[in-house]
Amino acid sequence: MNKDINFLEIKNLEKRESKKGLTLAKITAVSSLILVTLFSVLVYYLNRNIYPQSLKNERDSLLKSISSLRNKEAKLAIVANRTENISEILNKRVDYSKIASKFFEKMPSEIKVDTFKIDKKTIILTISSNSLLPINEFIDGLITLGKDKEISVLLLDSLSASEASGSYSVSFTANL
Amino acid sequence: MNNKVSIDINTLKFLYERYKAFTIPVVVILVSFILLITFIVPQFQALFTLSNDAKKDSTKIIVLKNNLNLLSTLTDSTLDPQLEIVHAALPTNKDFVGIINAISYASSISGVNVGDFQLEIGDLSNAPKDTEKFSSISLNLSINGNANDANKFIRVLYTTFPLSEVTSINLGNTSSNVAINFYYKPLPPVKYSDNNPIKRIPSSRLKLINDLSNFNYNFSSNFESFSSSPSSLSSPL
Repeated sequence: MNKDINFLEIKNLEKRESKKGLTLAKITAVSSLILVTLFSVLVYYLNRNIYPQSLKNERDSLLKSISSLRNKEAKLAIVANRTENISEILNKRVDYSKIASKFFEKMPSEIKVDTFKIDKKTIILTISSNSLLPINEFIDGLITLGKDKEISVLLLDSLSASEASGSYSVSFTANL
Repeated sequence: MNNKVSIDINTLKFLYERYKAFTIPVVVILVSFILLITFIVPQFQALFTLSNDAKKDSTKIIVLKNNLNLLSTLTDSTLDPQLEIVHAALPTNKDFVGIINAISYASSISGVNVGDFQLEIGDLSNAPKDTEKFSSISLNLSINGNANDANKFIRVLYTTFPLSEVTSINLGNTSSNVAINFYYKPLPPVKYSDNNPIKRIPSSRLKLINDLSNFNYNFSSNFESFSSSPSSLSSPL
């Protein structure tokens, strides 16, 4: 019979190991609780500080203040939009009166305008006079307009004389 | 070899009795783990979104402050006359009264007699829907007067509201024909955005409004009470 068998010692060993495991489990449980609590506090703290209530309050206050000025904002937007549109119209429209005035300025008083047609690109002009001298003076004036780049092409379409009325008639076409 | 393990109620009771002390720590660990996964991790993730929101709000606050400052400096006494001028220059609808006023004014200033004319106004009940394009009312006008008088009429019309564009001129000895387009454009809807800065009207546009104030216009639609004098003819835009 083996007398070295010691049941008591083995039991104590098992108990000690079990106690050790239990202690470890308790420590882990408490640690995990502390960890969860710490993380919760950290999240709460970050939550409050990353997006503070004061920022929201300031935003809301500004929005409230600006909402009372919407009328002015609308007026400003309309004025801005309208000036843009008006500027577009003014830039694209041609001042025909200015162009016609330049022709009339070069016209001696003896000359009579029979027709003066003007559109986007072309001017068709028919004049008449009792003398060729003012017509010649006018043609010189038109050549000056061409030199000043007011007109790009100047064509003398016809020159006719009427014995019945005793006048000369000249037709021009000019390109703008 | 038989690998089957049979667990009966006695075995479970034995195991429970043996590991009873471990129950609470294990439950606490599990609950902590569940709390961590279910609540805390999503909260951390939400913090990034919150941080972005905070950044956006900070930017928005700067924009709002600037907008508020700008709008506070503007007064109705400045904006209203500007609004009236631009509205008179470019009406939002078919302003046939304004057109007739303009023709009447130009003829009285230039001393020409306006002959027959026909305005094709079209539908007045429905406002134009397209706020992007310019619309216009075309008009063919017969003017009784020589070429110089007709030219003066066109010159006056050029600086009279509503804005018009002469598309063709046929001047004659005693009468002339002029084709004119009177512009109008509906207002686009005003969009409010608190995230975009409100822009000031540039100085070039303010100068334009100032120049437009020298044009001939009549807000009360009264034929005889044009606000501007004929002297403004000498200062075309």
